[in-house]
Amino acid sequence: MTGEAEAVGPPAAEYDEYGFVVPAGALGREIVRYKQQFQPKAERRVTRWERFRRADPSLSNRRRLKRLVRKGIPDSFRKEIWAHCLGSQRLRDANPNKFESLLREPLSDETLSQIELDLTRTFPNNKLYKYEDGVAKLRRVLRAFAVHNVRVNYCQSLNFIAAVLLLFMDEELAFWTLAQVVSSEEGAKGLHIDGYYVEGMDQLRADLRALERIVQRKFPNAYASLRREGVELEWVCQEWFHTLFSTVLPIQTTLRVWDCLFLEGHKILFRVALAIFKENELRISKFQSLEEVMVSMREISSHQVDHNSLLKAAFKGIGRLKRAQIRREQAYGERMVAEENAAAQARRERHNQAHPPPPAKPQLPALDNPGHGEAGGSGEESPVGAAVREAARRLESVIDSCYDSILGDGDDDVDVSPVDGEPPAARLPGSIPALSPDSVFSYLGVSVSSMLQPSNSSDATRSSVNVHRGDNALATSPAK
Amino acid sequence: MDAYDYLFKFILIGDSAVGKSCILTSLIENKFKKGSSHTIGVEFGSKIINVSGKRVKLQIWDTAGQERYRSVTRSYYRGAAGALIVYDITNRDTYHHLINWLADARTLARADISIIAVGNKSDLKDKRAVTFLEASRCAQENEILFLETSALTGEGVEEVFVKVAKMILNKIEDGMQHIEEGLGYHGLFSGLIDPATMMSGVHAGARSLLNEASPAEPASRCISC
Repeated sequence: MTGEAEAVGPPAAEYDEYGFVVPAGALGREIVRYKQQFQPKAERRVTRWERFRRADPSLSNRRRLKRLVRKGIPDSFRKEIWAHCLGSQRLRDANPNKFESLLREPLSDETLSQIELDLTRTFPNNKLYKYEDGVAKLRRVLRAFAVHNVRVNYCQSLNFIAAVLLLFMDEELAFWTLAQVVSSEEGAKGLHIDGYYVEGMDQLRADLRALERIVQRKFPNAYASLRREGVELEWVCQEWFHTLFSTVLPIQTTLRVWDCLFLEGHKILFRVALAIFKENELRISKFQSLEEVMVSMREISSHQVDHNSLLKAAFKGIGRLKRAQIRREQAYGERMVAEENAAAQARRERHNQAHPPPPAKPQLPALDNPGHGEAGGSGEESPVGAAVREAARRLESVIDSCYDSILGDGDDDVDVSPVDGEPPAARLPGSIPALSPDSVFSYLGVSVSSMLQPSNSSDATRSSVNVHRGDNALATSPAK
Repeated sequence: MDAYDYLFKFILIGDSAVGKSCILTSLIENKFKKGSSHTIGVEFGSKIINVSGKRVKLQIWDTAGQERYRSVTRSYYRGAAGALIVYDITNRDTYHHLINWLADARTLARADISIIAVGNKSDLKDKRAVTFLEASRCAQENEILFLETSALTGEGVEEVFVKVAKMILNKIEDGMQHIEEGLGYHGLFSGLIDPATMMSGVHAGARSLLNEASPAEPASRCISC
């Protein structure tokens, strides 16, 4: 039990049964100790599950299944029971060649590169993902999913969910299971959480608002403590829901949560989140600074080693939690999110009108990456788009020169010596200080009003906003 | 131990995998975090640094970079006094997106937010795809500060935070002067820059402010265009 002995660490205890590095220090010791303590229960559960499977091969007794699942599915049964609960086995059987054919479909550069970026950043503390073999499996599951679910495509967090599934399943089943977890194509099973992973993440945000209201009601002191320190509940809980707790709880606890989640559905996310508050209510209520809240909440979730106790709290400790109540709060959350979105939109519009930034180089097309345009959603450039781009480029050099003439010596304000053979930026002749907005427009050789014609293409609409900004910038700069 | 003169909220924004979390770890733990997961919601760190003889406590919010997270990271911008927009000097796309992040920062945070563009991974000299000069000019055109860092070696990391903190301190001191001159508290923060005339506000306010406040800090002058 001495800290020194543990710190060095016997090689046998380096990885747990799921391939994760056992955390160093007290947390690691606690995990090992709890596992030993839980061992007799775990063995009894295996026996009970074996008996249950023999007596009811089709898993038709749902009540019995639920009771057993709540007590935890043994590792050896997880693959089968998860696939059964989510209906992913049936989907796989019904679509025998789908996975392979999805892998032959193309994906945008943007999606491919985001997946690549995340592969090496998905549970780097797990043995499976330390090697190319495991990484390649994860890559294929995520790519197939991105093709399959067009709306979601790829979103960070899905990588963690897929990675945990792959600890138990082959690629194809993991893919179908992920598909079911997210969008529920098979029957009434699955979690129906597409909206957690699409642009805007409205469903996630609405659920977090709903959770906030329930936490506030059930644990007023804990909630008040967060608010007192200026912490929004969503800052703490977003990751909980987004990765289905897989990045915040110890793996053993995550698996117990997923057992129930996959059978009983989305509501379990709420129950478990509330259970974390319940189990740590006193500590949370006494937080005294924003730092303490942010650091301790992370520590609290990563220390939920006693999964039995957490699950007990989720089903008993937190008291009644009806589906109807969650639905009511979700509806409230949806209204809040809609209001927020409208406010954000309005702010963006105000900003674009009131604060036109000078057109800058990053607006220009990435010439070295022709595929990028497609990924960005502006594949075919309209004539208007091209004219605008050209105008923006000229505007840029005009404004460059304006700055220089205002400041006198243009090089003086850059505190660096030229590097890397960067060619000097294009400059206009010294007539710039005399520029009036009119003369600038004629120099640009384009009529602004002609570019502001309404257009169906969203690209052109966006571009016209840029022209508008340029217009403002020009109108103010020479006046100085 | 925990005493400080000022508390500034900072946000770390920028594309995926440019090294935002590594910059934060480098600042706080003085080491490079190798083999870690990407950020999902938010990572948080705080540190007290010395700036111009003042003890400044930084509360730093490190966000997820994937485009789609923007709607959830919105709430972290609120009240931020400083923003680090990080790009990867070996990846031009991340540099091109700087302008979008800048628009976010200016729309979602307080009007007088002090912003720095941070070119990270400066240790990867052979793979450089964005020159120091062009990024410096871009920062200048957009009236923000600029520095390059290496979260791996730690080079430039603390300087980035100090530089932004210094700029905020200058604004505060300028605001104090306004008060002493009888212009009222209004000048302390929001009055420095009138959102309605954002462009001219920044030009006039920031330039006079920085030129007199930090003549010995040539790098700061790159915002004075």
